[in-house]
Amino acid sequence: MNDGKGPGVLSSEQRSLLADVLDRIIPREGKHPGAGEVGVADHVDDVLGRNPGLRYTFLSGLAALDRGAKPFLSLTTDEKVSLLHDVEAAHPDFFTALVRETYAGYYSNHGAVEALGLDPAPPQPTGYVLEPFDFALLDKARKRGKIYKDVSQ
Amino acid sequence: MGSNDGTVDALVIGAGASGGAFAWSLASAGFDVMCLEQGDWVDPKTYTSTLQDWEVHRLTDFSADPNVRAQPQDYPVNNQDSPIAPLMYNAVGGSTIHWSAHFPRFRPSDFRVRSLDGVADDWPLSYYDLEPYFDLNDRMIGVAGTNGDPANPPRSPRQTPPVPVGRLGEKVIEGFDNLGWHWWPSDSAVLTAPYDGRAPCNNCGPCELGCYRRAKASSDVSYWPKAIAKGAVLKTGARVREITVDRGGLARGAVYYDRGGVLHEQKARIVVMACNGVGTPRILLSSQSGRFPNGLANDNGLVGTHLMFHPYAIVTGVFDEQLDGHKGPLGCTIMSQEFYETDTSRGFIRGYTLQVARSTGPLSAALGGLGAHDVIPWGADHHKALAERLGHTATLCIIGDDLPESHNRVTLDPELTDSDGLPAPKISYTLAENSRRLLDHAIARSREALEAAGARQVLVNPLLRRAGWHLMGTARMGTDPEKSVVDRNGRSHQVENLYVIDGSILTTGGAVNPTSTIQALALYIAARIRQNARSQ
Ligand SMILES: Cc1cc2nc3c(=O)[nH]c(=O)nc-3n(C[C@H](O)[C@H](O)[C@H](O)COP(=O)(O)OP(=O)(O)OC[C@H]3O[C@@H](n4cnc5c(N)ncnc54)[C@H](O)[C@@H]3O)c2cc1C
Repeated sequence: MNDGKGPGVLSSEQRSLLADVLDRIIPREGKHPGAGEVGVADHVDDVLGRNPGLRYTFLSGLAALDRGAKPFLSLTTDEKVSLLHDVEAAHPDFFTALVRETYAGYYSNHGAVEALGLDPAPPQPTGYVLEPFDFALLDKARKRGKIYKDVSQ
Repeated sequence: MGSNDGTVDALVIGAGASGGAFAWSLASAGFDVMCLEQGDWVDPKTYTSTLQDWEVHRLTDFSADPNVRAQPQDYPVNNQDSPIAPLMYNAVGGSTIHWSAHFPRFRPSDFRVRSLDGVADDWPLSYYDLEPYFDLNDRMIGVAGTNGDPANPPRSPRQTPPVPVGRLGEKVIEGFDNLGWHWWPSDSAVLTAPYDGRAPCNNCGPCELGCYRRAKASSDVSYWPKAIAKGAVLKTGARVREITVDRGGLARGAVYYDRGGVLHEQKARIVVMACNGVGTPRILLSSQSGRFPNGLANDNGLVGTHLMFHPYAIVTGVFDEQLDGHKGPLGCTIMSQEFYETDTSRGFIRGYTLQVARSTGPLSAALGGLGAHDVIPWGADHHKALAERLGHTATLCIIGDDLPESHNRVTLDPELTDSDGLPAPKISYTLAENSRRLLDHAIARSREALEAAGARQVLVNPLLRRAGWHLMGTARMGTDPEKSVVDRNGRSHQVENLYVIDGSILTTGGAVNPTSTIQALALYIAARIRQNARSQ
């Protein structure tokens, strides 16, 4: 999330474009929210702020989306998806980073994780309860005699 | 035993798995021990397992890859010339901050591969020489498990019961049992009941994020508090540049940078390297002098050679059932050693362990899971594809014996340096033909086991790149001074008061995670030093 740690780098136009793209990478479906919808653009902006190396790749990738006859935002959903596939083939570095950061931001979101049916709390401090080891499971394994090669001391 | 010129009895470089065990042992015997560690203490309460974006930290600032993490205490590693990237952590606790705590022992045959299989070299000591130190180490750190494993020599009772296997473990056990193959609960350096003032594991999952509850025996919570209580001095933020030598060719001490970049020299009667299989050869090679122009203790050119990793293949089964694999310590459930000893009809020498791993959270699953097998597609199919994968996988990690070859090595990079300007290590490694055949056999057997357990799909990563967890062999132990760097007591053949105690000294790699063997060796070497001091 862009929590002020890093300076944001995206203009408001770039952010609107990105949010829409994010909703195509992980779209809303049933109980699952879309990635743009839950604010993954903040995460991406934060990552770009802290990672100048990625910034150029990302900004030129975004620019490529708007280079067609019509602006990306005015396309139909199907047109957007097919354009994204073209950009994926033409700018693989951008796209790999886009997908990775979309997933990173999305699966760090409380609501998105909850929609998976998982306990959205981080692993600690609560942890999970598991049944203790059942020694009866070993019955079969124990019957097997020694199977290591011994070597004189 | 202290002295007034600031000279300590033993100067340990590196506060990881081996450094902690060794410092505790010598300090307990009244030696004046100091340790220099480039990293810092980590407060378990600050581990990122409590944060909503915990999975992101595994991939960024808490990655096991020092090149990704790139924290000030880290040094970069040039891994371009290796299909496997070395992983490590630099702090009090060393790589055990990150480790999965799977805690098997090398087997008796691992120490005798030349005699038994005609490959590599025999160790200058045997399993039975180390056995008392394996047991001592287990008592010191607390091991979960149960004795009676038919695939290993009998061992003392484990300190706490085995880690719970969960639905995932039960499923894989079904597969092994259906095939009649060996399996046993993994010895794990994770407490399942209170022990020695530490709380038990609460099955949170990602051990590699550091253990918030101190249930996992990283050496900062197991050995270091005890070593310090016995008088050992641990200096953090102390990055060693080189080991100095006196006119007689003995080690004089170490020159190190403090946090402010100021150089100091600490003198010592003995110097003990514990910087791991990459860090130790790096510092020895950097310690060039008139007497040792090619690096300290390196007249025979062997320092840095014979690097071993355990090349890993990762095989994941996808099941219809929800296996809840995110619950329980990621790397510890059960293991199978059905294929551990040599059987030449298989087309390779030595063997492997199948270590059963659980799964992690949704981000890791979306990015392809533990084996980074294939990323879940973006777009309309995303949610459905993830739902089929998330929690529905069980993974077999193949740990194969990695035979020592002189061309696999650590050298000094001519350009790359750390933030103090010290040369970075460069790794050159090629996968041996024997290892490839071993992995291919193990992949086929893993597929069989997962299918016997009911997997409907099996995903294979034939060689995981980010898998250099085990750094071994680069200052190898042996009897012949022409063919090894240290003797059976960890002492340099060339420099009488220089010892190496970390993963560098392993003569061969075995087919299990190495740390119980590394720590047993460190305790064994400390015991020899104590004995010598008494008899002088
Ligand atoms: C993610 C991960 C998972 C793992 N899982 C397992 C497992 O399940 N089971 C298992 O057996 N093993 C596992 N390992 C391996 C295990 O952590 C190592 O085998 C063990 O820590 C090695 O001990 P060591 O003493 O050789 O080195 P380390 O523990 O790596 O310690 C070396 C220390 O030396 C310090 N150092 C290095 N250079 C300098 C310098 N120039 N000056 C000062 N200090 C220096 C470092 O900062 C570090 O603290 C895992 C490792 C990783 C990274």
